[in-house]
Amino acid sequence: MPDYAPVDLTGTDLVEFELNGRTVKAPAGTMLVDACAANGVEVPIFCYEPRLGDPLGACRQCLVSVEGIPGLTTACSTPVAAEMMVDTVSEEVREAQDGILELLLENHPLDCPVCDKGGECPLQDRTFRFGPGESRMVEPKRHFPKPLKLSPQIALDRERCISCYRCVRFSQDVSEDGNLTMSERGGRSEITTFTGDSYNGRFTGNVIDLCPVGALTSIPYRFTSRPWDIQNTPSVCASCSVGCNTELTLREGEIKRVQGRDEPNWQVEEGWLCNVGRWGYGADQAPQRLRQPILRDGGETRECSLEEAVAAAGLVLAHEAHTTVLLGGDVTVEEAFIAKELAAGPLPDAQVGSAGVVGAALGPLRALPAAQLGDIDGADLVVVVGGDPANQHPVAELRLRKARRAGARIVLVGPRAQELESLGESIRTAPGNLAEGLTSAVAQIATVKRPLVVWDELDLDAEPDAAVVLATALGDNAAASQLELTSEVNGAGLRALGVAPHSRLVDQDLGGVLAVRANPGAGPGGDAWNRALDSGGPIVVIASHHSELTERATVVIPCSSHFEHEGVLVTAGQRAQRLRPGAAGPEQSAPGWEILIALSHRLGVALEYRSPRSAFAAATASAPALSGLDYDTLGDLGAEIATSPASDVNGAGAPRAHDGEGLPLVTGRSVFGGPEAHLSEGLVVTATGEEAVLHPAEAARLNVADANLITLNSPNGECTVRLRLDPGAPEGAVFAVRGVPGGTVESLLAPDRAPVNVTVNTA
Amino acid sequence: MSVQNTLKGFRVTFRHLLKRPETIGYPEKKTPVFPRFRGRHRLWSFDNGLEKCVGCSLCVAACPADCIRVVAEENTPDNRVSAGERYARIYEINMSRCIFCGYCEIACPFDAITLEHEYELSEYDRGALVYTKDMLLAEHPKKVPLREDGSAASG
Amino acid sequence: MTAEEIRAHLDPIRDQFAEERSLVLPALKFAQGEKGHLTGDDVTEVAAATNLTPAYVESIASFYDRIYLDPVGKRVVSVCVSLSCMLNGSDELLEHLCSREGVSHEGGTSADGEITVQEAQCLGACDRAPCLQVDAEETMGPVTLSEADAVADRLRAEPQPRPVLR
Repeated sequence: MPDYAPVDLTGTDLVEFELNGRTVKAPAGTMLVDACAANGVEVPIFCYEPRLGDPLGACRQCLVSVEGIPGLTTACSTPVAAEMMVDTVSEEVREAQDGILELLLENHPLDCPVCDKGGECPLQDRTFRFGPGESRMVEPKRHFPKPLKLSPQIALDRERCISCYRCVRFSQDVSEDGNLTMSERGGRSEITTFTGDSYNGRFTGNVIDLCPVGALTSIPYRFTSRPWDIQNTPSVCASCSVGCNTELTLREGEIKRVQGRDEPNWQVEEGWLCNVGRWGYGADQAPQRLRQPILRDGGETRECSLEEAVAAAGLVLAHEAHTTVLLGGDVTVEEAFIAKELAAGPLPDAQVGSAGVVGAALGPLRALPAAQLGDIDGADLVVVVGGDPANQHPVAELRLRKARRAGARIVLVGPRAQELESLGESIRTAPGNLAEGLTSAVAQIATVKRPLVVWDELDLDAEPDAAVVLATALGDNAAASQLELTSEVNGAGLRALGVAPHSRLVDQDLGGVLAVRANPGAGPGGDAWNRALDSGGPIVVIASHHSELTERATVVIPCSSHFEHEGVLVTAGQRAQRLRPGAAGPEQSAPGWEILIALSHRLGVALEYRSPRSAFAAATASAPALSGLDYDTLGDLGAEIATSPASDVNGAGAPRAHDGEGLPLVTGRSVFGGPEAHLSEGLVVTATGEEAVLHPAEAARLNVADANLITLNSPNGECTVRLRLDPGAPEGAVFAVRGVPGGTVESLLAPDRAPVNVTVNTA
Repeated sequence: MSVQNTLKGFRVTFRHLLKRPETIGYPEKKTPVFPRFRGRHRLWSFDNGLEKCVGCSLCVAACPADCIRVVAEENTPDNRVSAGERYARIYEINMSRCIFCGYCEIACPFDAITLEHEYELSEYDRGALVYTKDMLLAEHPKKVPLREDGSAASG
Repeated sequence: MTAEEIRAHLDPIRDQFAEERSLVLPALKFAQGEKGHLTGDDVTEVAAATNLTPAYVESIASFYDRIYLDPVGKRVVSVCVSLSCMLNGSDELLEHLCSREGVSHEGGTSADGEITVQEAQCLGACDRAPCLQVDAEETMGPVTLSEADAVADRLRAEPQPRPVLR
């Protein structure tokens, strides 16, 4: 966790003040703790946390003396001013800090050997540096039964709590759920939720990172390792396209923990992670993980070695007249590039397509100045068009909340139910009416200084006329910027490489299929894909987990998960970021890029990339949007790629007609119901499922009841889901949650996600 | 002259012929070790059977030879192994790496591990030098060196 | 107590408070008037009436000694355990009252439901330490153990309508 806020000492608004007898500078208004830290003086803190809003001054640990202020003052809540004389090392200050620590430790159980925080605990560290050597406390300490299960993932040890209020402030001021509070008072204070409630939410895990003692700890990580047993690797979360920067904790070959980095990426996640990003790593150790290559040879299924599987894959693909390469939406830039090279050379007559490339008609919007997630903070108007950031791009929600707290106006326009409607003006549009619904937002964009549009590519792909309206409005305001939230984590990267959408391939004879992290049968138009796959040639699957496709495949080659390999993902805000391997992965698996290179050798035209680094270098040379980037320039925090020119304007502006009978269907996906959430042992309790949502009036007309199973029929397929009635849902449309493993909602959609209508019946 | 020089040369040898030998007949006889001698490790339990070790890994942190491996787990009401919240599910010491410095004993906050006086730790198999928790919790088995013909040296 | 009733009670006094969340205390007092203590449902209703989360309302309720989240007896006797009183023997006083009423050493309600004994922080009567207070109305001290017995006997004998906030 970042202890102090970043301070810019190069600005023009610096003031001079005296710090321990030395004249130093800091921007006016910076809190003293930050100003001191920027000048190399550490003031101990517990409750101060720059990301939690206004300082609270609860722990009193940061007492320093400032000339002119009687007594001692808390450095966390005193802004620096010109000619201030600050002393952080005098005997008086030292004694005060020492005394506060002794007080904080009075009821602290000092059970560091059994505490998960031991070894990386601010309370330990600061006691060593600023605290008393021993305690004068001989009375019995406060005792509580422990641990308490605050949520299925968080354990609370009330004895260790020092009442710093960080978690409470997170709940009240950052995630704004207000479910975590301090009850009772004085020595009896304890962190609680409303009686009997579990602390549930999308971001609850952040309180573990925030806790400066071992009071809040992660249950999946509980007692698995100590800080000296582990290796931490900075990486990027691949659960959604926000691309939060993470730190992977490795012990004995396995990922044991994912947490926010000590030095967060202020442009992306600011150190916050959603619960799926934090505990989704469990999916890597799930039984569904592929651990052994599989060969299906004339009705016989057998496990084989990695070498044998690659050799077999080369053999079956080389003998096909033509081949198809299907890329998942989360393949890295390197994997996609090597796969493209394979298609261009060794693979016989190959075509490439990816599920991650959406919205060919959205070029004009994408060509506008791209914003980073961090830019949401400084906007005065944020228009959220389509999507459901809270469930689909969770950490973006925290940015929107932060912007609203800073005074920005939030306007949400879209066909989906959004959990963020209370943040501002919400315009729920019927499917097909998005352009119309944007009228008020467009008018507002023209009148403000720094408007920013956050848009969802799937919802705008369904209504390209709205994209034109939006692009025009944004183009008219020079200060406006746009932030695309892609549906797949590396959607922007695949687009930059010029990969085409895979939907155009479904009607063709696929021939031999090479699927890299792809599973089209579980995506939109799954039935059509399965028909195409069944009638095509042999299927070679490179995947990290079992799926419907691995069941159909001739050769299954286990590859690394995103926790286990090196690569680049282009995430929200066109930001290229580096994945780094935190763990080794199963013995009989290899990084995806390595498998593809090995395959090229088997196909007779060897690709000579020795590492992801050299593959990325070649990719940047071939893709203009990536030019100028390499692993070193990306570093830990990533860099923006060039905005693609507005070339692909085919079909821009033409509304897409809805296919079929009945009510228009709107679908959405939730990270909290996705594969990571369902496969990870720690998360499965809180994972959400498929459901359909209707307005009660609409349900009455259709004669279907709440909580019943209903059948939805579209020209593409049929699905049965549970119905939920929501008075906030728009009338005249059905909303369905898709993307749940084993779910069937996706089959209602066409492979190209053409808008559809569905009929609704009781199952 | 030459005889005299030879005798002079043998003076030390002859003198020692008259002394009692410094060596003892190991393994039949053993030199007593000093009280603070650091030999084979031992893990301890309380009288009620609960292990003293809580799997805190501080010994791992202290070990300069990196020869200890601890994997902890949580005690449950029906499987209570140690007195604390956690216990060591795996506790291994690789004796072929151990330098018998005793830092683990010093680091242990619960006096769960001590270095005892046994030093006869040789094995025929390198793998057998990795001592598991069960071995460390138990008394050191008497190892009897074998003669070439396979019979025990001490009879 | 429903959220509507609480809102109706709050509406006339709404403008006396700078911040809306300050209304939570009058709302809690009002809701407590019905049964003499608050149930979980009452807390939820207060939260609905004040646009706060139940967790927040409960934390406020738990902070104050005179807002009860558990049922209390007809009369509440608070024994000050802050510094002055403690130095003058409030520990003994509390222990005496607790054992006399047959409740745990931290306080509780007597089996006949007549008297609740509780700890209180400084009651502002340090000059009369050790002091005790009956129903937030009558503070007395210094109290000897026999005087405490007399107070308890008197309270049992005295019929007393349930006050709104004790």
